[in-house]
Amino acid sequence: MTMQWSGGVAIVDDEEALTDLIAAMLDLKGILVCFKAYDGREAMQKFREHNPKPEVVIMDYRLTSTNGIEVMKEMKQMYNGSMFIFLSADSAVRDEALKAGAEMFLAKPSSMKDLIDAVERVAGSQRKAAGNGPEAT
Amino acid sequence: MVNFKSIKGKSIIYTLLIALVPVILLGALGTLYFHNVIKQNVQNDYLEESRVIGSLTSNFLGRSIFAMEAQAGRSQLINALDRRDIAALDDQTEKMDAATPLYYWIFVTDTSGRVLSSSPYGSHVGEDLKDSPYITGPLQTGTTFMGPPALDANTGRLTRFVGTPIKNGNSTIGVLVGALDVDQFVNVLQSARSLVPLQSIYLVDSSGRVVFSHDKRYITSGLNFLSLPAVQKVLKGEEGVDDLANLSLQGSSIVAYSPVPGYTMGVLVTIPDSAIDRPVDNATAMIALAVLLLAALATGMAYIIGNYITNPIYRIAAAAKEYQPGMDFGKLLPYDREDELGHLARAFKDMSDRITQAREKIVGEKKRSDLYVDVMGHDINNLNQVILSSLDLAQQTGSLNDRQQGYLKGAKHAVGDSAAIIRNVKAIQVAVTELRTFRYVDLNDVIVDCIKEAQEKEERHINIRYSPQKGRVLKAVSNIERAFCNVIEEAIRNAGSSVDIDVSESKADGQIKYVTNVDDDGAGIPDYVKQTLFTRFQRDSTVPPGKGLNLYAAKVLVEMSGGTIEVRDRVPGDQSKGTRIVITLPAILAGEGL
Repeated sequence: MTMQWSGGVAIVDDEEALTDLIAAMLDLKGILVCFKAYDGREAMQKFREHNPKPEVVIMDYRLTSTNGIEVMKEMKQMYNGSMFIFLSADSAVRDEALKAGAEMFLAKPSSMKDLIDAVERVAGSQRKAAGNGPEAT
Repeated sequence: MVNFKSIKGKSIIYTLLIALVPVILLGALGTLYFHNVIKQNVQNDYLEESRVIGSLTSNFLGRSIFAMEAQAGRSQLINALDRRDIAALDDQTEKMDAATPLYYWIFVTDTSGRVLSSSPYGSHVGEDLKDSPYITGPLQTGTTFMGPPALDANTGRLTRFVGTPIKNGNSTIGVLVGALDVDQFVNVLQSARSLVPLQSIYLVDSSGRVVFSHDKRYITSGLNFLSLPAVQKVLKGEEGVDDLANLSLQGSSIVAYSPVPGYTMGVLVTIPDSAIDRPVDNATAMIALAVLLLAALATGMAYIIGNYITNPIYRIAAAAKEYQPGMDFGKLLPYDREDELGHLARAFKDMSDRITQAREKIVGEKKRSDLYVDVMGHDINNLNQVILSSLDLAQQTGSLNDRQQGYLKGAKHAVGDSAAIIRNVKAIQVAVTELRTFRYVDLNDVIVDCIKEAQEKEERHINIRYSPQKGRVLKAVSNIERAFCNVIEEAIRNAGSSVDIDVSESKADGQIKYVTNVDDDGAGIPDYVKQTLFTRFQRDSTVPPGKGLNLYAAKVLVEMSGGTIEVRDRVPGDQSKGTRIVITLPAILAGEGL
């Protein structure tokens, strides 16, 4: 059973190789990657331009000149429909990220399986909350 | 406010005890003792004074009488009187007047008491004085007679007439009379009142009548003290210092009495009752003043000792107590002194400078350590994430054989171990460098989360038995859950098929503690390994760093939280039946800081 991804998943991480790997894995799993960004400013710009907005954003904490929590807050101000999964090596900010509105926090390194599971779980819960549950294909 | 436990307070107390208290005690005792001594001395002084006055009086009277008797025996006088040669008699009278300065008036009478010659006051020649005692006395007794004190009608001067018989052979042919200048003796008595200006001096004759005094009024007023016991004693030739009887004269008392040598007379020294203790009081006051001066001296010494010695020590001690790295004590400490206190102050400054430098070095080292941990925690884990993601992606290709899959699996395990090492190092660093960061945690939440985390990592199915019970609260370092997670992870890794987690309460030394037993049914741990299980990460260990870090980190975190951790056999005495790790931590009961 796979889900239909209308908005897809956005990946924000300053580690380009990792961003590409995650994108490749998502693609392999049939999950739409709507955009990749390597710093906060680029992420904001792509988030603003991209329509429909991503259903899930995989967000790193440390980004060039800003941090993922601030970027998430700005994105939520712009559009409150996206769900955020933090994937970060900074475990100390777990509580702060969750408090600021993130749905999940995964500490690096996490397996791709855990990440895919998290994306599907978050997206599924959002669709369920919106009343149009997961669509099997 | 002086703290009396401080050296400053103690120095004040000791100085007062050593210097001031003895001075005050000795002063008080001395005052009491010397009060009596002084009183005795004062009485002795009064008695001595009365003796001196007695001697002076005796001398004065003796000289007065001797002078008259010497003049009465002169042949020129006897011849002139015998021959009734008035001119010669006047000449002799005039010469005698000049030769006897104690007398201001000399005159000669015949045996009938008629004045034949007088110098001065010639107008008295021819007067009949036969009833005067100083005429009848010598004529009847043939000896010198001194009349009572009287005011001279001619001069108004206080005088005592002294009559001496003039003899030609055994026959008395006339009387030589001299008017004694009592004022001279009154002056002598007044000058004798040196001890106490308020004292009075009385000389009484055998009838108790006052015949001399420092004050002429008392001589002429006819005072008679015969009824006084002291007067009766002195007329018997006794002397004394007791105030045997109140003088009843202007509220005075007799303080000393003494006989006049050679005469039936006595000297009385009196003091007004209001001033009788004044010399003693004055002397006592002097002693008290001396004590006060010594006390002031002791206080001054205490101040100097305190200011110059104790206070610098106190300030050095306070500086040591309140020292903060980088603190500048300025002129508060005696750096410039050349004595031991100066050495101490400079040594303190040297040590504080070294501490500051060492602290700066430690802070620098900590920053460096933080950087290393940060690099590990972030950058290396980022790389671990890349590696793990790459391996995951490679696994997903589906073209790998079993051996290749095994290689990938091994690599992924290594990445997990790498992440675990970083996690433990960070946990230890946080606990060690942030000692005061404690938080309240529910032990049940910690254990449940750790079971979940461990199960996710473990590929085997291990049966974990735990009965959740909320409300067991601990106050522990902020990352205490790492200790429990590590222990549970180790137990699951070593278990054959199951892990049992049990929490109980125990009470020791009046404190409730939560005891968590984590049991596995693995192969167990030999005793010689148990002894070093929690220290295998230490620098002197031969075990490679990283291996065994789980339990070392658990030990650090538990001990930082005031607890203990130990390893036992699950079945006591049989190490082959698995291992039990026991974590004991102080409980926070309801109302305790929550």
